[in-house]
Amino acid sequence: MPEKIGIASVIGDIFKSPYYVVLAVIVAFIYYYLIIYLVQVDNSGAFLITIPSYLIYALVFASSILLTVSVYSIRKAFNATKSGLGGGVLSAISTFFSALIFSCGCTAPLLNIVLGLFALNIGTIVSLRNFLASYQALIVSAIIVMDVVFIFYQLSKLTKTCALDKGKIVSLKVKLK
Amino acid sequence: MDPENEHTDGQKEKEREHTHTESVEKLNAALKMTKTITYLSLAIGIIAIGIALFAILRTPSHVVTPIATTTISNSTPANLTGPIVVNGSPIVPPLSRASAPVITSQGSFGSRLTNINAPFNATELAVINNAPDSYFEKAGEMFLNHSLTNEVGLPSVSTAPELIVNGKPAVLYVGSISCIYCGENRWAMALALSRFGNFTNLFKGYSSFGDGDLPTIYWSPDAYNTTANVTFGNFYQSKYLTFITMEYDSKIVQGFEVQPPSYFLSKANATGNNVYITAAEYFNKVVNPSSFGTPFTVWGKYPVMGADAVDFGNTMPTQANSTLGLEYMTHADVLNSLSSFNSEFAWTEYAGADIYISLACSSLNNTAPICSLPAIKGIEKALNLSG
Repeated sequence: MPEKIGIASVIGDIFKSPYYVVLAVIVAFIYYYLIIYLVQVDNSGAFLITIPSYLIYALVFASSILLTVSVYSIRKAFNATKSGLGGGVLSAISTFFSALIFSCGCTAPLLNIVLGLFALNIGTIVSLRNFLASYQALIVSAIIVMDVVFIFYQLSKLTKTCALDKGKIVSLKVKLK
Repeated sequence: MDPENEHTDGQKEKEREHTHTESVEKLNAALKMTKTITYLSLAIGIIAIGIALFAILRTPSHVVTPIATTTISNSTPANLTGPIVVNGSPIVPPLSRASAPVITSQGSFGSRLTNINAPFNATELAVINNAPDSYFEKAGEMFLNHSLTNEVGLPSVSTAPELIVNGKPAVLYVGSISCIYCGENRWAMALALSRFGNFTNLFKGYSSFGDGDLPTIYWSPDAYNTTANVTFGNFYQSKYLTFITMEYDSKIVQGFEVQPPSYFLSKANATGNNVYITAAEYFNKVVNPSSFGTPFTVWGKYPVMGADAVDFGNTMPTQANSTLGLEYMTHADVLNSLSSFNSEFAWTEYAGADIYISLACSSLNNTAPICSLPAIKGIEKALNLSG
């Protein structure tokens, strides 16, 4: 039977390591300044947002924690590497996409170009843009919730993994076929 | 105990341990391989996002910067040879809308509609119509010597065949009442147009609640309660220019909305007015639909994508302070600021007007009196505009 490890233990294991704390902080800074840069490009140099600013901080926090837990998953766990990969990419995508919808979307935003990459026609692009503009705050909140859910998903995977020591399996605690 | 059995049991135990150790080693090797692949995949995923970001950001943006040198591209839009000439009576909109009445109740900043669709009184109209030329000159000088705090300018200037309506070059405006940039830039547009004619009516309006609720000008009473519509027409008169306006209406209490250029054409067709049908067809040919945003204007032969100034108050919004000063101003505050000409906000609006005036002057071969201002000539030169 696999060793029973609680989510709290995993969180403790992650953040008692200075490596992961530093990683989380660095990633948070990168994401924050990426968001600022994208919003400014979208608004002719002005930092113009049309949603509450606390959502930006919440997104940066959730995304950086998600990436940190993902890296931990890849480093530490055998059967959680796939979720670690998914979590890492999700973290980057959710930050990038949210930055595109933080502001008004009026003056030919970057979002047009991104949606255009999917070969959508202009009518569909405009409809999507209108939808995103109308529900900006709700959509960003949902993205934050998605990040948090994925964090807990990864943590739950980590509680059921093989015991590892320095990235190596030290004992088989599951029955091999 | 049978020694042979003991020996056999011992051997079996050793074999089991050996097998266990071999399996653990194989698993560790597999684990190492998996991790390598996973790290690689994660890195590739994030790099791919970075490359996509780089590709997007390399696309010419509409970043507004003070112009030091500007390139003009004489890119004629496809299927458009001009000038396009149309004669007829433009649409004259109603002076009021029963479905979108004037609201007199007060509201808090960010969710107010006080006096929406109310006409400017004579004093308020005079701030726009009778603005002193000296203000335009001073603001133009500030623009040319880069002493403005807010951003004013155009990233590039392109040309298109002119739309000539009743013998006069047209100024075409396509926007949305919900749009925050339309909201802040209509003041500059109105000031610019006042140099070539005058407004017999202007109306008070706001950008949408989701887009700053900025006090702005409406060219005519707009349908701020509708789900989707276009309001055509305005109350501008001039011997130099014809002002054609197409304003997308949506629920002002929601967020920003607009429709693609084809929507404006379908609505123009529904009016049966040949001036506006031709203007909408012209708009659909001049604009790049994939990069369409609001406001979109054409000043004679110069299409302008977006606002030519970022003017939300006396300072640019930054990550340290993203508060929009304009969001906390009333129409009276804006008009006072414009008439007293002693704030960064006012200088920016007049400088934005100067850019538009320069484009119009170039299209008119500088025949209007305003075109003789030194600052306007300076801006035309800075923009490399041909007369």
